[in-house]
Amino acid sequence: MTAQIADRLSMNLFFEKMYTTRQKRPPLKALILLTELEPESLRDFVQKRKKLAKIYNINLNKLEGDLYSLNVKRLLWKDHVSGNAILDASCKGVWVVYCNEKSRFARFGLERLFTRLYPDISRLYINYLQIRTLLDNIKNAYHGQTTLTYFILKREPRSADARLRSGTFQLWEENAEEELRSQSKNYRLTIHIVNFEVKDGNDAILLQGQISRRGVCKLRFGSFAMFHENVVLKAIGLGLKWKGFYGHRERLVKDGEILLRPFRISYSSQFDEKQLYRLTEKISKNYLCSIIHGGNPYFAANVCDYFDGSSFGVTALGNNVTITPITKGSHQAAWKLTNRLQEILGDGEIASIMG
Amino acid sequence: MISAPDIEQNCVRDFRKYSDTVAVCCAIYNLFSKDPDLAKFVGIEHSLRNTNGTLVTPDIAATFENDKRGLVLELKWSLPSDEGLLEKEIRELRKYAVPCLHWRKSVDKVDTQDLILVCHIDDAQRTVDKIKSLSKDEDQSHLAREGFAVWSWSITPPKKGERKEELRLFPVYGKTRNQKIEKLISQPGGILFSEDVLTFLRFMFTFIKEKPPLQYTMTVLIQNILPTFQRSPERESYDIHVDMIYERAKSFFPSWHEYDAATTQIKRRWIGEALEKLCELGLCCKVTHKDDWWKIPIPILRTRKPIQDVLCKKMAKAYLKQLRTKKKGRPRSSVSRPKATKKDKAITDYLS
Repeated sequence: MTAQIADRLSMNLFFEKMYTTRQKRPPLKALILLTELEPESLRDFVQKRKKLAKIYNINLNKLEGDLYSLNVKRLLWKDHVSGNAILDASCKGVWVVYCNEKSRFARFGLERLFTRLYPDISRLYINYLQIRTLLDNIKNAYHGQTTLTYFILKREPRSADARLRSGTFQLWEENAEEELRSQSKNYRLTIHIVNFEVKDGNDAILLQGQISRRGVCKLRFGSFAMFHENVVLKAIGLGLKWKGFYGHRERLVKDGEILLRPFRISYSSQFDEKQLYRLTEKISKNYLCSIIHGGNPYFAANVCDYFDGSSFGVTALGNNVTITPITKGSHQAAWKLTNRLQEILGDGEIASIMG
Repeated sequence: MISAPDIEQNCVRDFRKYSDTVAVCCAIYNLFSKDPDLAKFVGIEHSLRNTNGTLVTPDIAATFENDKRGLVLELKWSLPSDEGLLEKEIRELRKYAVPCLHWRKSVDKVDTQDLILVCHIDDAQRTVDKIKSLSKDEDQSHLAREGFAVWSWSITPPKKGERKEELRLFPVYGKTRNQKIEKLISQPGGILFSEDVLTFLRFMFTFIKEKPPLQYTMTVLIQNILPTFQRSPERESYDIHVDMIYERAKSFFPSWHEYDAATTQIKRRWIGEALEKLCELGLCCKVTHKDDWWKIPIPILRTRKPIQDVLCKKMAKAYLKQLRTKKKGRPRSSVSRPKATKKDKAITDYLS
């Protein structure tokens, strides 16, 4: 559907026209990625990875300046998914991939491709508090009112109350925010998707969109120019801020003195043994781990990212998870690990520890 | 006969003991460097020369009372259960009873020097019993005098209503001449370390002076050192010289000074031995016709279990196999004959 886009102006006009009229169609997905690669080298990077090269066929054409048209074909089981997207590399260190194809292509074609190009390309991971901040920024930019209309989250009861159940929870409601707040009192939450609406003073809808935990912003209805300005660029700003936070944290030895730059995820309640045993079990599935204490209820482990080679010391004590980069400790790996820990233990508040 | 699960259990326990002893070393370092009133930190593995001319490198050295008195701490992650070996270890502490020199640039000698032996709680009772019996010997009389103490440490799980797990040091034998430290350690519950020690400070160092168990060095290599050489996430392998690995590993050994040739050799040997063991377990291999070159696969190990569990299991299996081979002696060579297939003719067919 993006075949008629030849430059930035035609892209803006195309999406503007498409999403300011009410019609049933796939939403516009803006996939935000962090990378220092040049878009021209994407094909080479796919070719270098034998497994990816077997299932993906990629064509990239330059449209104008930092704008590219991307055609992706993926072998999925015995079938193919294929589609087009627009790659915008105008922000340094960031790629935004716009796609208005069906979600099957977006999820299994595009998202999986870029996820598997880690650590050369990394996803933008945002937690509940960061989504909250982003929504506040969006609200301020539109001078309107933001309301949550739908969310999907994973919840885990804070106490052993038998009435509280764990699992995935989703809610469609006009004002879902209240429910989200009440959920956070009884449960540890890992937010996955948030749908929101921005309305003006006359209650007219200016924007209907979605933000996901993995840095995908969707436009269902509203001006594309405004969406780009007030949602995508704000999400990029947030992403670059956190990229700076996670970067340059390796353990250093300076004049014989060892410098550590740890950070922590804080929670409002303490961990119990059950949660930490689950952490022990789940973290070993994604990372090469040596568990020193498995959660009694103190968890201490040394974890290594298979793909990136970064290694971290991870401890959980009281209501804090502390992450101490040891060797290499790239921002991509630190961010990915923080996200994985929050997927297991719930979203928390991330902050640096002053050594 | 010892079973594989027992060997594995001991192997994993040793891994944890060494790792926690490193955390204790970081904790004591942090205690002195944060509060110089207790004692002024001199260094970790600081080289002191005693008046007999022997070079000694205690785990931690400090001074107190305006640099007039010295304090050395020796950390033992594990002490032998064999009586003879335990006695030998304790007798070796005598080197710290001889006056030492070169404490600091400005402090060459001190009036008195105290020694604290820090050991795991599992070893404390045996060690104290042995010290008590040895102290009766005239040449080991320093063990009974003021200025020698044994401390132990524990990570205590919280009781109901208490907040978190805690790392505590407590006295088990003797006393030092540092009144401030004695006041602190003799309070109920001993010295309670800050929470930071259990969270991030424990990752400051990876080794102490004492040789780690092999499974510990192998884990550090697999997790913290070898992955830093990988340049691609693809499953490939790369060749590397042991010196390159040692250079990268250097920063994990606590040191405030350049190592001498002997120390470098010792630490390099730890790495060499760990690589040999990894090779024996089939996790890496030697590069043919090139000494000290190793072929390392990416990743070196892929598992959904904790690394030390996997390594200990492999080590236990290899150990038991070795034991069985020893018992049986050299296996006799047997002649193997390929089985006849339908196409093969019987030998009698060729006779006519």
